Amino acid sequence: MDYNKFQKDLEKEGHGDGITVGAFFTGEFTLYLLFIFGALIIGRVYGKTLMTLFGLSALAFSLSTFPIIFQFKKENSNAINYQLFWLSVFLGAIAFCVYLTARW
Amino acid sequence: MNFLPMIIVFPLIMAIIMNLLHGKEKAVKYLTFATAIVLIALPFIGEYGYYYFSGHGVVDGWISGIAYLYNPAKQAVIITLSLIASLVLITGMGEKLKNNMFVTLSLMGFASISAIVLADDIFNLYVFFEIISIVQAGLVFLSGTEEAYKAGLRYMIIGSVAAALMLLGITFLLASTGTLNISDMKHHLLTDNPMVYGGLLLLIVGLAYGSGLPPFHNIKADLYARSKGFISAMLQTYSKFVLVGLMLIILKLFNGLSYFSSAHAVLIALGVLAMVFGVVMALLQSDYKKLLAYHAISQGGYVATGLALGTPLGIVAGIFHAINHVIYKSALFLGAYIVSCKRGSNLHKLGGLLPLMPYVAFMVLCAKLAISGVPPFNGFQSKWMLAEAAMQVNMPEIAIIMIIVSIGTFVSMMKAFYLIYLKPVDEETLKEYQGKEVPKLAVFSLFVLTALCIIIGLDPSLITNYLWDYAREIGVNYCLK
Amino acid sequence: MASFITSGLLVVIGLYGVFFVDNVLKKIIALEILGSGVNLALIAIGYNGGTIPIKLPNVPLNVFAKESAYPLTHALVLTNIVIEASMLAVMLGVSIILYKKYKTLKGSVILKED
Repeated sequence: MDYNKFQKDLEKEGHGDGITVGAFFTGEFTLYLLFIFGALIIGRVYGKTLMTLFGLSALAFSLSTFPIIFQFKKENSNAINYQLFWLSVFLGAIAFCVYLTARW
Repeated sequence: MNFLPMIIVFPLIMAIIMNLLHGKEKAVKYLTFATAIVLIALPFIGEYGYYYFSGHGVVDGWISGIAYLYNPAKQAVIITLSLIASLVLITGMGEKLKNNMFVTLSLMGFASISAIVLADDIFNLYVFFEIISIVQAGLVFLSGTEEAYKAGLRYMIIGSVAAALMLLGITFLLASTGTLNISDMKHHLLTDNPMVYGGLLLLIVGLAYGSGLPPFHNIKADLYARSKGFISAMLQTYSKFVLVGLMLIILKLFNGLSYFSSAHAVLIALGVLAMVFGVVMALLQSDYKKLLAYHAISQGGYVATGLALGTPLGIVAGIFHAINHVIYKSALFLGAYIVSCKRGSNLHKLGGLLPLMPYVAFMVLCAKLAISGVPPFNGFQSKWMLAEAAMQVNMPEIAIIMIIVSIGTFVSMMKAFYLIYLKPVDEETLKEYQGKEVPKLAVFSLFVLTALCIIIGLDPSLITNYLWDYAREIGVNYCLK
Repeated sequence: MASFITSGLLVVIGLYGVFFVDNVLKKIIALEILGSGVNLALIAIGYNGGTIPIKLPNVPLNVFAKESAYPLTHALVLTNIVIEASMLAVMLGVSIILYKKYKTLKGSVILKED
């Protein structure tokens, strides 16, 4: 978590002033906190310790590849191929989740 | 005689008349003003209860025709919608170019959204759901830039997939129940089968598309960012109320049934993801309108989370937050429109606007504090209720995520405020600013919206009193262990 | 049963086309195929071996209900065809505008990140 390294990455894009770097850092930490609390609540709802451990290891992995924010920005681009890819992933994921409770 | 359908019929007729008046700018202007005044009166002329279009009610177990349900909660939503619509129409009167097309499309959008909110049959819902996606693309095309065309085309391609899938879901529900009327369909859904699961699943896809939850958040934000400021205010109002209308229908159909639990979790997860992704993407933007667009997604996530909790308090908090959100976000978009009249919307090229328009800056600051949830404003009241609802069902993690997202919102809003109004600039830029006019009608609309922010913030029961009855009817109390 | 299988195939082909073909015009054609599949499914669930759902004035309602196919699905399909046609018209118009600028219809070129 090196502030200067982070600032250098940002200066390549031409936005190296303090307030932008601060905003990028806030975004980075918001993502980590989402992972932490998401892992907590999923583990608590399903009552599985293994699931929480798995979530926390995913968090550790993402921490080791700091910063993830640039990758996140790339995946959220508005190019149509990225959009369609995530749409198909979304369809698969919610189909899996909704049919999970089916009893027949 | 019940005048309820006038809420939908009147704007559609006016839209057709406006279309015929092509080229007559004076007539369009006066008629727009008159329509904007009438729109405010529309929500008060209907009677509460069910309304069957042209009297086709239940016939021999067949339910045919269009059905509407009107109650105080829906009235509160439509009052807000008509207020925003008339303010945006009044602001749009200041613009010269393509005026009547803008008025036509906004009125069509108004009619569609009120139909979606009022609808008690899924057929009607689907028809207007499709119309609203054409209207939104059309409103973006009005700004005429190449980016706008691209954003509209992207939105329509992905939207056609989602809407076709939603129609497939409606087909599944129709096949398993034999009716499209929502109040009637509820009795047939008590037992589960694969068809019902498929219908529920595909309705969720339609919901995510209509309201800009992930994975549709990028195209939706693109849509808001590429259009003119006051049109974006209209567009985000549409999306929020599509979210409210569709979510209320899904809750009315499925809430409390045993097989709804996993879909329930999916809806809450979609809300939380929209909240976090929206705010993180907003923190990364260097374009003011895009920043606001991603905040609209983020606040939509709050609304979705509150409604998806499914308890009476959650539903009240969700609708209340939707109403508050469209008020302050419209104010912010109008502020962005005023700024873009001076000099574009790129944050790194703006600055030093505070001495030129201190009143506008103050009102925008009020709206920014409202969106970050600072006490005397309305955003605080609804965010507090949302956190309370999350605590009530014993999900403190969601309340914590809400507060974290609020912090992110505050940071990016203050970043934008500093870069636009406070950052020092050189003499030449100041001279360039002074040469350009501030649109007076936009400032008037901004003033009305800011005043509403403060009034609702001081007395939230003004709105929540409308909402409790319906929320108690469709909400179910539960508590996570 | 055959109509359900056909409609399922059409939906799958349509989704495949939208997701995997990198040409805006072909994507739009695939959207049309997807829409046709959904329309066929709607018609198929409403068909119960009855006559066409047109109520003549001298036929009482209960007889009509017994003899005809389910009319609601037909109304839904008719509306959907109209809406779909207008959506497609707008999309084709915009893709022509973008083609004039870029001289190509590749989705990865004209709808890339901006």
